[in-house]
Amino acid sequence: MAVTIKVPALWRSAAGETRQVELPTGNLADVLNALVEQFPSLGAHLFDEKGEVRSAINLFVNQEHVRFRGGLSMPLQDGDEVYIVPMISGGSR
Amino acid sequence: MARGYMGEILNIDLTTGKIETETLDEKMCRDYIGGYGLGAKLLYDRMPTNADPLGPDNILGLLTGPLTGTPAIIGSRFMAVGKSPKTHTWGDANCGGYWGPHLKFAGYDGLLFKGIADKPVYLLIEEGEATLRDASDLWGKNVSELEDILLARHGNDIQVVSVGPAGEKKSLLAAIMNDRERAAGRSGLGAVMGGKRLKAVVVRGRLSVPVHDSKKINALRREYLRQKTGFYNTLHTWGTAGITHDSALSGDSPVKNWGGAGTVDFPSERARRISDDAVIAVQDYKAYACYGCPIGCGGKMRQDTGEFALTLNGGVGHKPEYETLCMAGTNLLNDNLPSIIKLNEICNAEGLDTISVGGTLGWVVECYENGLLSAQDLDGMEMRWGNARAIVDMTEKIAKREGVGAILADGVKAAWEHFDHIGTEFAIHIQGEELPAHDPRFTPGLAMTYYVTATPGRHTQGGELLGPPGLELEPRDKYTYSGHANNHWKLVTTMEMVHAAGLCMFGYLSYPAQCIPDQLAAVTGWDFDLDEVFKTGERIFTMRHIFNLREGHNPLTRNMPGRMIGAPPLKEGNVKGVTVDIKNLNNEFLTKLGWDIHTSVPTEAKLSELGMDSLLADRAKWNVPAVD
Repeated sequence: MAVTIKVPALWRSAAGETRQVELPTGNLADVLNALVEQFPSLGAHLFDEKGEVRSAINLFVNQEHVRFRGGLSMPLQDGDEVYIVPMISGGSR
Repeated sequence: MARGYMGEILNIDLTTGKIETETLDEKMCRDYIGGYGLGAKLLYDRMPTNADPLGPDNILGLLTGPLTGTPAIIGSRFMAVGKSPKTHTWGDANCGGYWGPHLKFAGYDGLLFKGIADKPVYLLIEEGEATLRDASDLWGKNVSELEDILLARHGNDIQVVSVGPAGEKKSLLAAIMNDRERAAGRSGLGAVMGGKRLKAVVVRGRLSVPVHDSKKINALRREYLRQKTGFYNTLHTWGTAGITHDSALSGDSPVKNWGGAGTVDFPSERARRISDDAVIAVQDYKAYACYGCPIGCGGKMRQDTGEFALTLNGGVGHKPEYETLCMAGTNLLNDNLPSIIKLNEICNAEGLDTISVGGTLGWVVECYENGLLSAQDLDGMEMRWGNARAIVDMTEKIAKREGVGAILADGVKAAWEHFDHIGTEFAIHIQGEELPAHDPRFTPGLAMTYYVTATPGRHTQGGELLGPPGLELEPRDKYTYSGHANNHWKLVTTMEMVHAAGLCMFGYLSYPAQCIPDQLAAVTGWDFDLDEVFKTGERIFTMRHIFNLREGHNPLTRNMPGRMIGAPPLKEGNVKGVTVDIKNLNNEFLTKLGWDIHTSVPTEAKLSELGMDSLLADRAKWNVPAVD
């Protein structure tokens, strides 16, 4: 039973250059903690000094934002895909 | 004269052919710095009210800032200013490349053009000597062909700004171009330049920009280069293309002409095709950096085969920016990357703003899909969502003003007016300026920027989406529509300084905010700290607004596209259910600025506080309509 975490392009170097990581199911908080346990360098990207997910990070499960599905306590099912989308914005012309 | 300035601008009367040198007023430079700020003050002082934007009384300014062409991070920019033929109010646009620094190396801080030439001309500035040359043989050339000719004629060490055929034809979507593929795209200022029959400005020079403390500015550069943070890694690796996928998913990007949701209408596997690694994987990709830039967010790539093969410069073109990838991609449900690269080539060669082209095509497609426009209206073309072929072909028509392209070449508002006001809710513009690729339903603070700033519909004018590292902001929930005024004021005023000083916004997003006052002080010799940056930035923001007040324009009377603020809200996607209380946001921000919340006129006390007492006598003449 596994979920897939899609690693943002910008963070790949902190995740062994991998685009996605398979982790055991649990609730979303458990899965994120397991991700950081496997790749400690991701910790500073994901969590702030209080151990909370940074406000500029959007989390999607199967392409729906987690705030519509219970936030970090939402249970994940086998086959779920978690997208981490850091918003460091921009765009120019 | 303070350092950082060459000390002189040129005034060129294109009607008479007269060129005069003018020494810059040091106090005016201290108060308004350069770029947008100096431009707003000079044009307010020298232009009559109600000038025809495409007439002889409109002044087109091409201005640098004191940090342009110095070791400052990142002193690469020049700014275009003038009355916009799109909005009929203040207009400005901004560009990197190499032309701005080289204008200063040729001896001048800026150029002001008035009048209209009786035949096409270009201005040549060589080592301080300026002459108007016949451009009859250049008229009709696209930007790349033009630069080839001018390089052969004047040597490889020149820099060129120009308009393409779109500007010659006075398309309101026309851009002012530099280095073939860099654009000062917004406000329709390419039409102003083309309308004056000014094809190009060619500069060559070898002067150095004087600097107050050369050791200090170089030490600051070395120190700040080590502190790259914020947006640096994304920009350095992919350029702005790095955010296309994430922005489609998060709600930052407009999707399906602002009526869709990324997660539903343009999901991850589609958005990936026009984002980050996919973009830089195009053949022979090489990064491109503007003058003195350590980031190098631009890029060139080869696409010389296939349906959308590039035909200029040996099949090599510039990497599309996020704005282009979104407005011609995500927003049109088009995941065909080669087609977007081709559209980018057409816009660069013909001199068109890709944001405005994409926004206009969004209206066209949605009208077509809803049966409001037929294929017959559109020269037989099936303008469907994601029809890459039609999107590219229609862009070509817009560039050439051919068929229905002749209407669309003036943007979505003109098209809506021509077609008897069909598809009003699909026309996503404010006052004629098509909105860019950042959604206020995701970043509500941007609603203030788009609606209240002197140039409407601009994402590069400061706001909550785009903040520098190290700028202290109060923590605020973005979906609580009060208490944001202080933060917004800091973001907007610092951005004004970036655009006045000649700095690149991407330096602002990648290096600590303190580098703005530190570098200004080191280069000019003036005292600057962050508080002085805020105050001077506020003065510049106000001056641009005052230009509009004198025209009788109150930004609070502007049209408001419902989709911009979620009226009605989306039912799907990350920003479903969001309706922005823009009225409360604006009221608080105007109160912070000291502007009346019904007329937007600054109080006398505010003008005095900003040292704008010379404008107090004019205040009674700013007759603007009031809102409730």
